[in-house]
Amino acid sequence: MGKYILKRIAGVIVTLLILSVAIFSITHIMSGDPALAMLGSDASAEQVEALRAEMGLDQPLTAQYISWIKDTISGDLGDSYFRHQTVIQALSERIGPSTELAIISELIAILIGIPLGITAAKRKGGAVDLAASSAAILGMSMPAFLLGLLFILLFSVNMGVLPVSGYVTVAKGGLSNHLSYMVIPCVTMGLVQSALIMRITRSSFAEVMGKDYIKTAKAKGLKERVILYKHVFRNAGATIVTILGQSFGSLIAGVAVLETMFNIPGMGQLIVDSVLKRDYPVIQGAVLFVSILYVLINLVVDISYGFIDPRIRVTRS
Amino acid sequence: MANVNAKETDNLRVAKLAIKENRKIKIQTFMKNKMAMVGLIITVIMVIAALLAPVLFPEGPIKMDNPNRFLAPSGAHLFGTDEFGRDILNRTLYGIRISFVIGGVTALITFVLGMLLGLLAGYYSILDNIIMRICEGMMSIPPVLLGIALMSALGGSAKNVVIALSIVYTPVVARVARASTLSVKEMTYIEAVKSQGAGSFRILFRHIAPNILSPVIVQATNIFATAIILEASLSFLGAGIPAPEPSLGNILSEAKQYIFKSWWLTLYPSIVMILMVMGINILGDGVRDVLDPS
Repeated sequence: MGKYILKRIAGVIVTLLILSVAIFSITHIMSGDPALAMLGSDASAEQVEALRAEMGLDQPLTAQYISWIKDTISGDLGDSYFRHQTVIQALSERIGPSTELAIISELIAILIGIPLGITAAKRKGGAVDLAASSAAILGMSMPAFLLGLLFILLFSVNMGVLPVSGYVTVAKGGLSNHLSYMVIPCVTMGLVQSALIMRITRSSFAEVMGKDYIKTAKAKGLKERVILYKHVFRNAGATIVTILGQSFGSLIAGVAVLETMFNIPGMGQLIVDSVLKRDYPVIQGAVLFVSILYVLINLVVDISYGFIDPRIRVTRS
Repeated sequence: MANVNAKETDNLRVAKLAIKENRKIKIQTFMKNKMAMVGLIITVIMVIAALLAPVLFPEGPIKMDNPNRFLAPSGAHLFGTDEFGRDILNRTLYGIRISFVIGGVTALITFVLGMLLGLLAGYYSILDNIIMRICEGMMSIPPVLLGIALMSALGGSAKNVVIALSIVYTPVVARVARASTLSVKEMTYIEAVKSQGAGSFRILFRHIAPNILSPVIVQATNIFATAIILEASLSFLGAGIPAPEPSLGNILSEAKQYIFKSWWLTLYPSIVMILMVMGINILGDGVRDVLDPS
């Protein structure tokens, strides 16, 4: 098991290195000069040159990359060009709303997706299966923002019970006010995610239920509940854990669109905002942060495989 | 000698017949799958609607008509009009046109590039580490973020959306192609061709490539639908196809500003978009059931 974990961690380090090169290259092929953007178009050429030198933009790219990595490892992601704060400050300010949005959405997705998937797999072709599978295809066929728009149309415009967009902290507006702003975004994201979780749960459960050892368990008269939770769950577990990890990872990024749309001051909104302003350090820092989170979640998923299914740690190490 | 030749052609004939029969069975399974047929019909209707856009609206989707701003749906404007008096049905049809082109071209490009990278990575173990590590690195950036970052680097246009989406999705296809190559490579018939002295190029493209097509095509069909969704999201955020050129994403982004005043701006394009992607998804599921039954 130790060897398996070490191997996964080594793989992650290589992935992170490549990731950092990719993020650095993308932000640096962006057209437009941040120094010029900061000073405005009426600045003189000398002023721009001076600022470029101050920001280190006149160095060769490899030198810029190395100094960026060194700073990053020591915990310094640089200063925002436009906000009067460091990237770390900007990120820590924004992480709260994003985490809340992601966790509530994921909970909604799990609570809907897994029970529905299991029920659908148990009676394949039955009414629940048909309804749930159709709903899942519907859910996978729309971008999250579109479902959000339809919810706004229904709950805010038509019924007038929920606010369209915005964000109020618990401290400022009280819990119920805070939640009224979070309902539509969380339910939107949760429903979209539950479609995928439902489909995967259904197919992995159905696959395991077709196995001979489940037939044996049935034949020897075990109760359905025991079969389901002791035999099927354990064998279908690895797939479901993977998909939960992936869905949580994609959620952290997926909320970017919803945060912008609902005007929630989270990481996603920060990234979209910074991209429009070409705020290199913030883009680099935030995308790196989110991607590292994504990689780490996958690492945890990979390692938890080894615990759920002992066969994996043997074959993969 | 003549005898041997005759025998060979006989074998060849039987093999060809078998392939033909196999294809016929596949088409029959597809036709019997009711869901898949529904998907096919929806998709075909959408394609026809997209193709008809220039016939129904020869004036194009951009022309403004200020006296007719914010008209509710009626016989003259089935989907209503927007803040510039433009017909929403018109813009929606041109929007699906762009969606289909972007989804289709992205699926094609990622199919070709992913196949190539996957074959090389799966066949040559030296390249495997390099190509797959880069793919993993790219895949660890969430698609939406990578898309936004690339679009801001490239600038907004339909062509750049295709480039960005291809960069986002090629690693996904490459991974599938590589996995299949790895298993096909070990098959006895590859060993047989090798022992007959076939070159690597011939083995890769004549013998391995045709045998990994199914899972890769399934993946590419998936990408067709997801690319359409991601393009809409990017355009919705203002990092995709720039207005006034219509795309389902930027039509809906404009609609959001007037959601209290003109519900039809949001509702009708949304329904069309859901139907379109759902059609493609159901069709894709049908294709998967035929090509990759497991």
